[in-house]
Amino acid sequence: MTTPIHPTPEDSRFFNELSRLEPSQETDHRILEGAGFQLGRQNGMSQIRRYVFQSVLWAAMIIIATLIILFSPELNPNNSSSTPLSNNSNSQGSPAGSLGTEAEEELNRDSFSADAPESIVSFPEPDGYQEENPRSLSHQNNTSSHPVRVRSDNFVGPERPQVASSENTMGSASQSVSEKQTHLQRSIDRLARESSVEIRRELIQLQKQAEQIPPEKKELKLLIEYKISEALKDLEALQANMGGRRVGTEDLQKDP
Amino acid sequence: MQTDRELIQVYLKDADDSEDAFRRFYWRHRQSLYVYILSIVRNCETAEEVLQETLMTFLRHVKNIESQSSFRPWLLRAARSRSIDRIRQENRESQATRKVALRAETKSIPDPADLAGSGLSDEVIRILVSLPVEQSEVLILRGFVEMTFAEIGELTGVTENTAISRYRYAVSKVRETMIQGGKGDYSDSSHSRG
Repeated sequence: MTTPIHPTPEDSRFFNELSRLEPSQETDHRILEGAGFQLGRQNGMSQIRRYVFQSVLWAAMIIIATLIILFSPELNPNNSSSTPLSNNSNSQGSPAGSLGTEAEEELNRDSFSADAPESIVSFPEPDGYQEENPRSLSHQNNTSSHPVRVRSDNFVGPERPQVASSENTMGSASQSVSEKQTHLQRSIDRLARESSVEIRRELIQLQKQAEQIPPEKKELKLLIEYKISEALKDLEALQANMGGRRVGTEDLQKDP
Repeated sequence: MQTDRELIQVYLKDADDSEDAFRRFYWRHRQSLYVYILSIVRNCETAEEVLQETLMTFLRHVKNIESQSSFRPWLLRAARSRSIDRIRQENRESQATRKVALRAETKSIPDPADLAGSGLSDEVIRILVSLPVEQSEVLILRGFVEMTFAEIGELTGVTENTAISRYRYAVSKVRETMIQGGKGDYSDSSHSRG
């Protein structure tokens, strides 16, 4: 005869007695305490993981930003000096130090620092506006894309002496002759500025190449230095052509 | 009434009521787990250790456990695995200490003294000790945890019919023993562990 699986009074008595079984209070306490510890541990680990992730993320962002600055010609501090309108900051910055040559220092000093207002920056505008050079302005301040447009009648920089010197030089000559001369000077300056920019870019490229040359390859390094010196000569020649336009500091000191 | 998952979600939020949520979850499962483990390991201290290990394992993996509402199947499965592991471990240790004959026999025929402190009556202890593990666990899972035979078969890795068959053998032994004991004094229930 098969035993029925339906509960009988004996079964109930057996299971009722089993229901009195329970773990000790000490075990309960250990388990509840362990649960609290486990929760704290999990939260602590997740917090540590979060910190590590954030740190790695920041490090990666810094590395990426550094690489972008180093390898982007637009953002490289060395390249930022390749534009005429940023020469004032360039003269105070690090390009001379980064290039590490006397030629570079001379380059910066002669063409882009103290004499810069005379040779490059000052472009007197008959109509009262200084000419805007998109290339130059885009390089002047990389963090700002606002166009730089300066009125010469409000501008207190070297432009007004330049305008004044131009007028003083011409004296009482006719207005048309003055305008032609001004226009001619501006054309020459623009040409010289663009040429000097190209030369400067070349120098920057050479500088990068020179930095990557291992010390054992002296010949290549010498070749690049030679190229730099050639570029400097070109630049000096350009500046010599611009010399006639240099009005002189005495004119700059005159207040119209 | 909150489900297991809801309670555990409250617990994992680490809020003020986390401790209370886990306490309610634990109280919901502690007795059934303990009795089930005890039916396998047949030792009160070992059962408590296995219970603690099971719940700590559960808490370590709770975020990865997929469950609709109740964690009971997972807990029972973990408890069963750990109980069997513990039995194997003790068998290896007993063999290593060269108490081979005595201890090996002990595992096949458990010592009633291991359950003496459980507060159970002699008849119940005799039933738990005399039944094979396969039958006693089906007996507990069906009669105490109130699982279906299909669930028991899934948990223990046997077919539903096998689970029913094992339950029949077990319940037959229970009735036989209880009837014999009923001729004596059944009212002795003063062994509660407090």
